[in-house]
Amino acid sequence: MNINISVPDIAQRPVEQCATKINAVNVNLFYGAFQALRNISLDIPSCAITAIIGPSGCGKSSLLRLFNRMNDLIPGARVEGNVELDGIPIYEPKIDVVELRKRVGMVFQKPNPFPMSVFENVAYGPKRHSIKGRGRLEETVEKSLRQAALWDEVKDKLGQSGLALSGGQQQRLCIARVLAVEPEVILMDEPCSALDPVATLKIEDLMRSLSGEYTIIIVTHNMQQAARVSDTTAFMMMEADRAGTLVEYGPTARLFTNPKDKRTEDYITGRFG
Amino acid sequence: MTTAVLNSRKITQQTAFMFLALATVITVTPVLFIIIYTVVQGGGAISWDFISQFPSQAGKAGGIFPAIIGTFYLMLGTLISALPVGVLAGIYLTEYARDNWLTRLVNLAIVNLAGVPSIVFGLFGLSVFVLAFNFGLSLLSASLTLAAQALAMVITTSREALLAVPREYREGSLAVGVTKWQTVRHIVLPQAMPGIITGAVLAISRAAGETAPILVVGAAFLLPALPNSPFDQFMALPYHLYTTAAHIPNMPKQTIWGIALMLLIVVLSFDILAAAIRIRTRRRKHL
Repeated sequence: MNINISVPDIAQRPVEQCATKINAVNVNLFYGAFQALRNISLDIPSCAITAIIGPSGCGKSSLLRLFNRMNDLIPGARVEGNVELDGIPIYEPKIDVVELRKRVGMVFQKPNPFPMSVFENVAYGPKRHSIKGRGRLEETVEKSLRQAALWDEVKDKLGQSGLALSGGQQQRLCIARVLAVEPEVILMDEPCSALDPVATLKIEDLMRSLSGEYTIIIVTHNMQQAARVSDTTAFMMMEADRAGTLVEYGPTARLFTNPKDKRTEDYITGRFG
Repeated sequence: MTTAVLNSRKITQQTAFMFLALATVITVTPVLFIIIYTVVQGGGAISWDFISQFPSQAGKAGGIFPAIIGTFYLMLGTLISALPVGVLAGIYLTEYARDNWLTRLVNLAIVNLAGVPSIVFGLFGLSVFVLAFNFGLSLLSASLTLAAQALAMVITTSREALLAVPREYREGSLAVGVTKWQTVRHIVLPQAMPGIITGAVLAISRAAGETAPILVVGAAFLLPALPNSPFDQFMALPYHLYTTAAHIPNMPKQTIWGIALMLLIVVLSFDILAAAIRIRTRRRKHL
């Protein structure tokens, strides 16, 4: 297998011109006594795709879950430092976590449609956010499914169980479910790792088409994928005590062709990991 | 590997299978024996008159209608008192209570509650519901007493059913900015419902067979009429069976076994109901 990383010739936007959407400064994350993340600082540009790559266990998912406070669900999790969304610190006590997660949606590694119909899956969020009336719901569902490039495949079986769809369709259904609540940021935690190559490509195309409107952050252990879809890339590693740190962060094209850090170079050329 | 080794492994495996199968047979035999024996001994007693008439001559003649109805009321009262409280407590303990020593202590207490001898529940019911709350010897006191006993099982099975709902569903729901309670209400509870209902119905059917607790809180051997209100005394199948078998001289054997058979039918039909609910909801869930 060819392990050379080719940076595709997609005209990648100059991310320097994008406003900062999420901003983390000196963030430490602990699970009880164990430190999962050490001293992470980075600016995530708005309306672009940021990839987080690195070897297994380096804290990629922990970093991602920092941005919608999903780590809160883990007993004993504790965050130090500052994380801001549009300049507002999200770990302040007065922050409404539910409202935050509405703005920062998440797609998981394993497609997790609810055991209900395709329609109900997408309508789930809007319904809970008190969008009433069949007409408005239908409108939202169709719009979200179209955005998720799933409408044509499911428009005749909206009443069928979401679990009856293929793996790739299920994952796009989960993306539609997130889009339906009109988030600003979409976090994706290895969204293609359970999918076949064709389904993976569809999700990647979808990500590119969404990236104009949404800030997307994707965790992936697939470097080709990071190179193909992202505008900026963060490379993480774990230190001797297994705490994850940010090694290098920059525009994807630059990071893959001209890494500044020796460890980044070793990783992307396949010398370890 | 040599054939000798392969053969010896095969023999070991077959021996293991044999013992496991034997253990299963030993477990199932008494159950089958009890059911078959009860049907053979008591089947002849069952007739329309037997289930639709009041007893006469101290239970030696007539039917057991009021005892069937009393047991039915009792199960209903127990279900109404134990299910909501038990499920809500299960939800709280699973979804909301922090994992600390107090929660663990409460969980331990609930598990141990199931092991408390039933006559102790009877005395508890007598002193609390009959005397302290002044509900008297009544259907209400008995239902609450049985509910107290059934609660342990309702809470435990509710907890298990709730915990069995995959984490992915909860996370998927929280990740679209839905509150914890909405997640519990719309995702977790519907998923856990079949398990919760099954547990509750099994707990109720077990309560229906209890004799000792109701003995002291309101069951009567013979009553001239059906209970009119929750504050009336009542007849019940297990107590009727106990009294006719232990205290009535020259009681026809067939009648005693007939009562036992009716009790089995009532309890087993609830178990079958539980299974039916579970299968139905499971099928509907997957559309």
